[in-house]
Amino acid sequence: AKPDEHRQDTNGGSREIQLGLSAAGLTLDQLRRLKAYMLRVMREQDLELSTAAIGWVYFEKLIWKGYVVKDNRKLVAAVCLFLALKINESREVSVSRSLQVIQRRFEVSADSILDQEFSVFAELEFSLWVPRREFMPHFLRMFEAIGMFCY
Amino acid sequence: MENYKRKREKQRVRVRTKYEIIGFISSGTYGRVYKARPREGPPIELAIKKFKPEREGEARPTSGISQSACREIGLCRELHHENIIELCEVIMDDNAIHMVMDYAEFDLLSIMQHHTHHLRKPMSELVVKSILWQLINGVAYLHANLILQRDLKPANIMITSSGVVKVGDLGLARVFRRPFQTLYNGDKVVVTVWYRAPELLLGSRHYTTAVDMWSIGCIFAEMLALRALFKGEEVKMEKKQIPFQRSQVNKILEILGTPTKEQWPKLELMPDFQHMKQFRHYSNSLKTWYANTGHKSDQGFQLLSSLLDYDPERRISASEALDHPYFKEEPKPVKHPFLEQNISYPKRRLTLDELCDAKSQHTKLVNMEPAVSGSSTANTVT
Repeated sequence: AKPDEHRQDTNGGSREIQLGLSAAGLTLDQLRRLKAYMLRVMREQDLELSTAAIGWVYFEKLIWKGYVVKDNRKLVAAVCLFLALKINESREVSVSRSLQVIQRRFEVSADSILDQEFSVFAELEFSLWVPRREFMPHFLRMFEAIGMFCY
Repeated sequence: MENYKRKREKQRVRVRTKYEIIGFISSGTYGRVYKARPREGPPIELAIKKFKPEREGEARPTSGISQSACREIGLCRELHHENIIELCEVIMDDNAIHMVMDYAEFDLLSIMQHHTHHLRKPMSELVVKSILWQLINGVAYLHANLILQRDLKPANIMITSSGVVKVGDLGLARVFRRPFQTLYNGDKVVVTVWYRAPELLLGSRHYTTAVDMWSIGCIFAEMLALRALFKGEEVKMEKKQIPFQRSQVNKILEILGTPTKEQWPKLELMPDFQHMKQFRHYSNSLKTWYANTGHKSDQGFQLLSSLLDYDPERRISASEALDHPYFKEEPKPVKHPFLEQNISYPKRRLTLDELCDAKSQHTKLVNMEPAVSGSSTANTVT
């Protein structure tokens, strides 16, 4: 495959998506880095991989809605992961400790995360359960990204 | 940034400006429930559940929106069924999440208490059957959507003034069988002890739909007799160790008899099976118990014993129960049993608690000085 096609493929994106992103002042590199942050927090806090995948689904939905712009991308991604953690972790996790890790990794203050939490929750229309078909592609891709293979 | 905050403050929907709080209904570990009415639009009654912040008293909770609020709201958003409480709106105000929901005039607990203390007569078979059918119908919908209620008890079963059942309080509910969820569940103590299934009492970590069905069986029996079927004494948790609920298990054995290997093949594999040796042998006396309630329907007894099957794998499922012959024989269940039988129960008693008062004071404060409204916390007033 040509490098260009490959690049599109790994991001699951098309020309259309990229146009939408540039309108919001976002680059694919920035997004890739945010995804990596989510995975890092997941590993540092020993969270479920599915939590990171769900957080990413939230974040993508908000990109589609035009809620994410260059300036708030880190904050919104951090809140998405924070919400995913609350809804998805079945073990008892220390929410406040995870919040500390998230704020460090995403370089945003805990206060601003808590401040934005409800707006993001509302923007997601309070629907935090994502259907399998939305979730699985990200889950599998992240699964490969962290060096485990499912087959 | 300050400008933005002020602008956002102006746009913010406030609970009190949109709804008039009529009174205080109840409080629990999660927060408080109020009865309210919209200030504009059709004159309907609503319930507003105000979640208290994770740690009360703090100006801002350190972990944001509580986990149970996230889960309950997230679930309610997906659920639309005539026998499940409907979520209308979510409002953030006063640093607390408010869920605006359907209002139901009664709950099953208050109706049963009214029969015991005031009417001194049992609920009619039509009413019992109609409530039971609707309860199973709501739970069947939850189970079909891979959701466990996990805390079914009379107080959580809301009933409208015409007699339509609305299963409420999904605070403990969970999505199950998600491929990306571990089977072991972190939060351990679930289901009020009287309605707790034997497999949970014997230490099972696997929550299945059968857990809810057991609770329904207990509730069915309670409607027939107007007293709890297995009224054990709960052993409180000590040192974070989950205690063995000896008294509760004993109550179950007294009525259902000592389970045999044939009745429950996996009994010996239960984590707390060794505790079973401390009980003496009992034989099943559910039939006598049922006869004593004065109900004659043999199909009713069949349904009750299938709901109270020891083996969770054999216990009747919600969808099977809906088709049970009991619901095919007269009197057949109806949608509005209270309306049909011309029954009226006294309305829910409302009180004006300190928070309602605090709210009115708070409103005045807001009116005088809009700038402080965002940070002031009415919920610290005790």
